[in-house]
Amino acid sequence: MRLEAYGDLLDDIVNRSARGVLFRALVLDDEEDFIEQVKPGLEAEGLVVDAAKSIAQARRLLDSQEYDLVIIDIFLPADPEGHGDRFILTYRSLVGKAEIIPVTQMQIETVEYAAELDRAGTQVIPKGEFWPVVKEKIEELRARKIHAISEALYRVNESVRKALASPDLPGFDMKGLERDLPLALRVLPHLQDLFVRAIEDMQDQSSRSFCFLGRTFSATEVISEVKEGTSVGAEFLKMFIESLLYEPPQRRDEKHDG
Amino acid sequence: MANFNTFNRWWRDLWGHRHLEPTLQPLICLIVPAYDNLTHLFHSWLVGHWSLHVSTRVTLATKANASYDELRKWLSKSAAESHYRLVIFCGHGTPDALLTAPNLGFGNVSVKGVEHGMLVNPFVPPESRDALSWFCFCCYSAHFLGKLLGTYPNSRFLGYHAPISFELAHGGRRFWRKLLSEAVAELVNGHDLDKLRRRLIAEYDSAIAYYKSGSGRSNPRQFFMVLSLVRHRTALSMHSWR
Repeated sequence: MRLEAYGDLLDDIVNRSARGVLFRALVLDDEEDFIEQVKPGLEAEGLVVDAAKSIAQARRLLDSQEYDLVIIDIFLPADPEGHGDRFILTYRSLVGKAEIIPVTQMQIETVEYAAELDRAGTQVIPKGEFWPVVKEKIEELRARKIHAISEALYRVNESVRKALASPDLPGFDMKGLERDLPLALRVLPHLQDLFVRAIEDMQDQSSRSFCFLGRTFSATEVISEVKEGTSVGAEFLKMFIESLLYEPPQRRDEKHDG
Repeated sequence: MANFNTFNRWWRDLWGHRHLEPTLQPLICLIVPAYDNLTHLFHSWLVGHWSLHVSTRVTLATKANASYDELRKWLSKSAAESHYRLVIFCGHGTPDALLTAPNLGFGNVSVKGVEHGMLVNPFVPPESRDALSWFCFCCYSAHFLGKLLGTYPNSRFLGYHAPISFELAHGGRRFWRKLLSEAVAELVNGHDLDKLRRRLIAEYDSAIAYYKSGSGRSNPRQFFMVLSLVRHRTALSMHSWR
């Protein structure tokens, strides 16, 4: 994909991350048709999709994996413990922070359980109206991920900056760094990849005109510094993160006004 | 400094620049050591710039005299002559030093394998640093050195707390030349660090908008230009004694 605009890079991180590890969806339905119907569409939206045909299988997956989105048919055959159509209410804690989209083939008005779920804050979606709703949810997830990644990167950046500025580490937020670093490290390979692609996308590759730390770099030299993970390469990546986190004055003002 | 500037403007309006009392005139030391590609560029952009001739009291330190001895002389002499002194430095810096050509400082230092002279560091020279304003257009200067220099009574420091980069191809050189020469001209003629800081921030923001979402997007080196501009914008820092 050619990067048309620099501003799209952040969205691209999330899209690409989604194809890797950051977005996972679980589709739980005993009907194979529905799974086969939605799986390619979700994958095309950039999600990694697992499917389960029974509650027992779903529980195993939910135990071993964290999901961002769980799509569940509300009428399922009971599992050996006797939990069947009350799965969502019973296992909400097992689903964790994932966004749940309960679906059904039936007329919603005729299903008492749908009303019960609605009262519990989870709206049941008819399978026929599935796509517009799920696309909206994916957009919401993306926005949330962008925010989480930006915030985490910003906090990591700040923690490291503070640590470097104060050799005796007063006020160094080690807990915060421990919390944010894994996420930052997960997106780091994507950032590195994007950085390299953005440079490769520049029309002028040959000029040796990028001055930094007393040296003049060509595009190829910048790429090799980043790939080799040198201290100058790390500084380039830091500049890249800064540029992703940069907010134009108008947006900053809006934030403060808000 | 605000009071002095107000008074200075009023005096100028009333009597004209040439009637200023010598003791009230600001003294400015512009240091542009030229000893490698980038510093030669800075030097060519600033030395001979028309605006620097407007003020009669600019001491220009170029390669020949951008030395530690010259600076020390200027610092002690200017302390006795003026209420307002300003040092403008354009060159290379580290977190704790401003650098000049090798053998012109009080000692040499090797930075990433390249030899430089040490012009200013936290301990040398310790005297005559009160009431001194600094604008350092170089890497890292506001990181540690700037914080320290800003703590002296009536002193202020404007610089960059991280390494800064420059993309010089496809109009980049023209942009940085304009930015630096106008910044220096503004300081030489207006002596207002706060105003300069606001101006630089506005210039960076508008250039970032131009390269990120304006017609500068099609610039063949747009990506490096944005990286440089955002780094300049985020690293610009002011330190003041209060």
